[in-house]
Amino acid sequence: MVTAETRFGLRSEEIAYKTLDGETIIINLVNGVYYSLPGVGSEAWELIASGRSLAEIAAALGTRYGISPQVVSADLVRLAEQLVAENLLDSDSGSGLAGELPLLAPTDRVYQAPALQAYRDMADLLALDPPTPGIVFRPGLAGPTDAPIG
Amino acid sequence: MDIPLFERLQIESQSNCNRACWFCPRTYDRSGKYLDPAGKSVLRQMPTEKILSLLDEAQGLGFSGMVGFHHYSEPLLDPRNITLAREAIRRGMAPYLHTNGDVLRRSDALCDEVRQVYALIVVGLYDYRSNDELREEQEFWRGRLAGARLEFSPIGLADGRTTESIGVPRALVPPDRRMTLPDLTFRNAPCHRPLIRMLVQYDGTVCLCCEDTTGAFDLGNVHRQTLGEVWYSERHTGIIHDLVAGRRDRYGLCRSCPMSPTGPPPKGERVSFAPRTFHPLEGQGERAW
Repeated sequence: MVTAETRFGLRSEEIAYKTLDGETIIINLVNGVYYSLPGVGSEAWELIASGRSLAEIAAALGTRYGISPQVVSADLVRLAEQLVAENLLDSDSGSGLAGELPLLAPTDRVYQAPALQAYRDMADLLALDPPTPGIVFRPGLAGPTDAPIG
Repeated sequence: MDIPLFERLQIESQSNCNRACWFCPRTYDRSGKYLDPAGKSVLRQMPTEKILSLLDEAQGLGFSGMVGFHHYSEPLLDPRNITLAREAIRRGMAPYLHTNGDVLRRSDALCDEVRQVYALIVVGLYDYRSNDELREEQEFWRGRLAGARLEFSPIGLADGRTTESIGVPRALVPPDRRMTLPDLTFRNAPCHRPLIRMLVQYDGTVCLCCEDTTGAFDLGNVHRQTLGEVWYSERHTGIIHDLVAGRRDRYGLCRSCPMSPTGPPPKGERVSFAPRTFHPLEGQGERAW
């Protein structure tokens, strides 16, 4: 169960991510699904990745955007539940970071609740053309895994 | 010989397509493979005897998977298409059709034939402007090809980046804001796609994968080599090993390829990505490495 006190660990063996122009793009390497987190979601992702609890992140983002941390916290719990459901995060596996969270500079930008956008087109492409289910690679082939892909 | 036999075989029976879609690498080809330097369609076909001998070869290799007669061409522009599909069935294979549907719209009789012959029909849907229109098109084809195992090409609006999205990024297509996915290239990202299909173009050139429109990897030609000789060649297996191990950097086309990773990176490596930079000549009409 995700609460405001939960810390998270990235499923770093199975995902790759990068923030480009204020948008964090996450790719699930196992199934080919892409995700986008723009704006507040991108900022939240970076803080989640650093091992902060949702309550800590809510406090920081609340200050930055000048809104109630309780509002942000509720949004973050919803976001985190999605991220866990999509197998991008593991809950309660984050080690946490010592020390104070660095202050985020206040901004004039309007707060918008973080929204995870999923792009499943490439997953469909993987599934359809070519069809990958059932492929098992032979031992000795220099692959990352012998498990089925797709 | 340490790679498995291909799961699918594509033998492109002819070179033409009636469309020029903005998201298709064919549209930007000027190598003379599909379009000549003036942008005019090349009209050629593989001799029937050669196609049949390739099917025989595949059967001899123990292949019993799916066979299509396209690469970057429309297979139903070839009047031999149904006959070729029947020949694949006679050899214990399952023919599959990937079509833009234009010919099928005009011919009830051909619809009946493809329904009877093809184990799988994939229809490309390229003309819709909304999700409602997309659903209408899908319903149209479900009715027109009732009883067939039917799939649609993987383009969509519901999860698209813009309301006009209608194509995934491709290595030899210029970046375009209408792409439905972030347009990226990947480092250390495994790619297993070349293991799945063996692709033979209408002129006998063997291609590595769906991004290879011109045979840029110099794998061979079935007019000079057998399917088995090419598939199990040192060059082909070496490329497969490299790509499964995430070494996209070794090949020009792969360096600029936006197709997503097909699995986690090798141990000790991390997949990273960056926005794609388009090099129109890289891997097209040149060697891919």
